[in-house]
Amino acid sequence: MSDELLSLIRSHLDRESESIDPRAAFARLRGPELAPPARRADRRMAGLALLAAALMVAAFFWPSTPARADPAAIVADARGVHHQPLDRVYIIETTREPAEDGPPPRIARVFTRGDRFWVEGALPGPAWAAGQDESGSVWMAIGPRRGVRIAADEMPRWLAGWCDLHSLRVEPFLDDLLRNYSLTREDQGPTSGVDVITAKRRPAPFVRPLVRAKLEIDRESKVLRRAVLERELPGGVNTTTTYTLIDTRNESDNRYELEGHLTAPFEVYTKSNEPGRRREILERLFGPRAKLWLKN
Amino acid sequence: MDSTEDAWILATLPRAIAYARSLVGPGDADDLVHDCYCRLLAKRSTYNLPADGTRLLFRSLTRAAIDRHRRARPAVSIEGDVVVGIADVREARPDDAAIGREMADRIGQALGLLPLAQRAALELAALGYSRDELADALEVTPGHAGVLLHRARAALQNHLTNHRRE
Repeated sequence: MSDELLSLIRSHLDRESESIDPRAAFARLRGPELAPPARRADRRMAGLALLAAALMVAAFFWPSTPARADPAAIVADARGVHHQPLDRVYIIETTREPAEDGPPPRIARVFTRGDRFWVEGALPGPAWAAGQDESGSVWMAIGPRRGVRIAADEMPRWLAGWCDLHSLRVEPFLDDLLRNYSLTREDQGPTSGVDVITAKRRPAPFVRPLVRAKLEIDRESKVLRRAVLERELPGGVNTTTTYTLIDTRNESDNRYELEGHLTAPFEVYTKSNEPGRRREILERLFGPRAKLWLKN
Repeated sequence: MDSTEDAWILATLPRAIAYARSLVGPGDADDLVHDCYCRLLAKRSTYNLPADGTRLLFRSLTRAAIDRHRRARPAVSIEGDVVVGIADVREARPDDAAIGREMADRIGQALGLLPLAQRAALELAALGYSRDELADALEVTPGHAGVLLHRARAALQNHLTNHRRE
C-alpha cells in the first residue's frame, strides 16, 4: 500500500475532523441516556469468569516468546521509535498533594513529536494552547486571535514549573531516565502487550524534581503508551502526572508554534507589544501570582 | 463519568464523527457515533478507555456502519459488486475554492465513490490499523481485508488519475 496515498487520506481525515465541533455530541453523551443500565452484575461476573478462563487457556497454549528483560534496552527502543516524525497525543492528568482547594485534577492534552510538544485544554471551556520553543520562550494562544509570548529571560519559576508539568518531550525524557535513573522491569508475563518499567531517582548532587516514573511501553510497537510521573516541587508539594496515549496522527509543523494556533488577523502580546494586555491575560489564566510577577 | 473519560471523549469525537460521516453520510453519522460511544462507555469497567478505547470505537463504528448499510440496502453488496448507486456521501462545500484544497476535494470525492467496505478499509489503514485489525473491524479474514485494500487502492488511484487528465 502506497505510503503517499495513505498519507493523503490521513490528511483528508484530519482536515475533516478539524472542522468538527464536538461540543453538541459531547453534551448529548453527557445526558441521562448514558445512565448505567439496570444491574447486570450476574451476567457481568459470568462474563469475567469466562474471560479469565479463556486467558488461562491462551496463556497455557500461547507460544512463549523470549521476553526482553533489559529495562534499559526497552527504554532505548522506545526512544528510537519516538524519534520518528509522528505526532502522538496523550491525555495528561495531574494531581497534587496536599490537594488544592478548588478544581479537581487538571486535565489537558499534549501533542508530541521527538523533542517538541504543545499542550491544549481537553475539557469544555475557552480554547487555549501552549508550547515552548527552542529558545525556551513560552507561548500561549487564547482563542484564534490572541497570543502571548514570555521570553526565557523573563520566565518566572512558577511558569517554568507549569510547563514542566504539562509538557512531554519524549526523547529527552527517556534520555534522562537512561542516564540518571535506576530502571527495573516488572514482570507482566509473556502474554502481556506492554513492558512496565519503573525508574527511580539516583542520589546526585543536583536533586531532580522527578522522583519516580512508571512507564508502560507497547511490546510490539515500542511506543510509550502510558507514563506516571511523581515529582517533588518546592514548598513541599508533590505531584503525580499521568500521560495516557490516545492517538497517533500527522500534524502540521506549525502546530508546534504559536502562529499555528492563530487565525489572521491576530495579535501577539509580548514584553514590548501591549504588555498590559499580556498581563491581563496571564492574570486571568494563572491568577494573582501573574500580577505579582509581571511589573509592566 | 470522570474527567479523564471526558477528555478522551472530547479528543476522539471529531475524528469519530468525520469517519462516520465518510461511511454513512452526515445525516446518520451523529446517531451512529452516539450509539457506539454509549455501548463502549457502558462497558467502561472492562476496558482502559484512554489506552484502548479509540481502536475499539473505530471497530464499533465500522461494524455499525456496515450493519446499517445492509439493513438499508440488503440487495447491494458493501464490497463493490455494484458500485453504481452508492452515493457520494461527502457533500460539496461551495466555499472550498482555494487551490490548496483541490487535492483534499479530490480525495474526499474519490473516497465517497468507493463501496463502503473498501472505503472503511482504506481509511482505517490510513489511520494506522494493521491488516489483522482491519479484518477484525470488517469481520472478514485477513486475506479478504487485503483484497479489499487492493481494490480500494486501485479504484482510488484510477479516479485520481482520471481527474488529473481532465
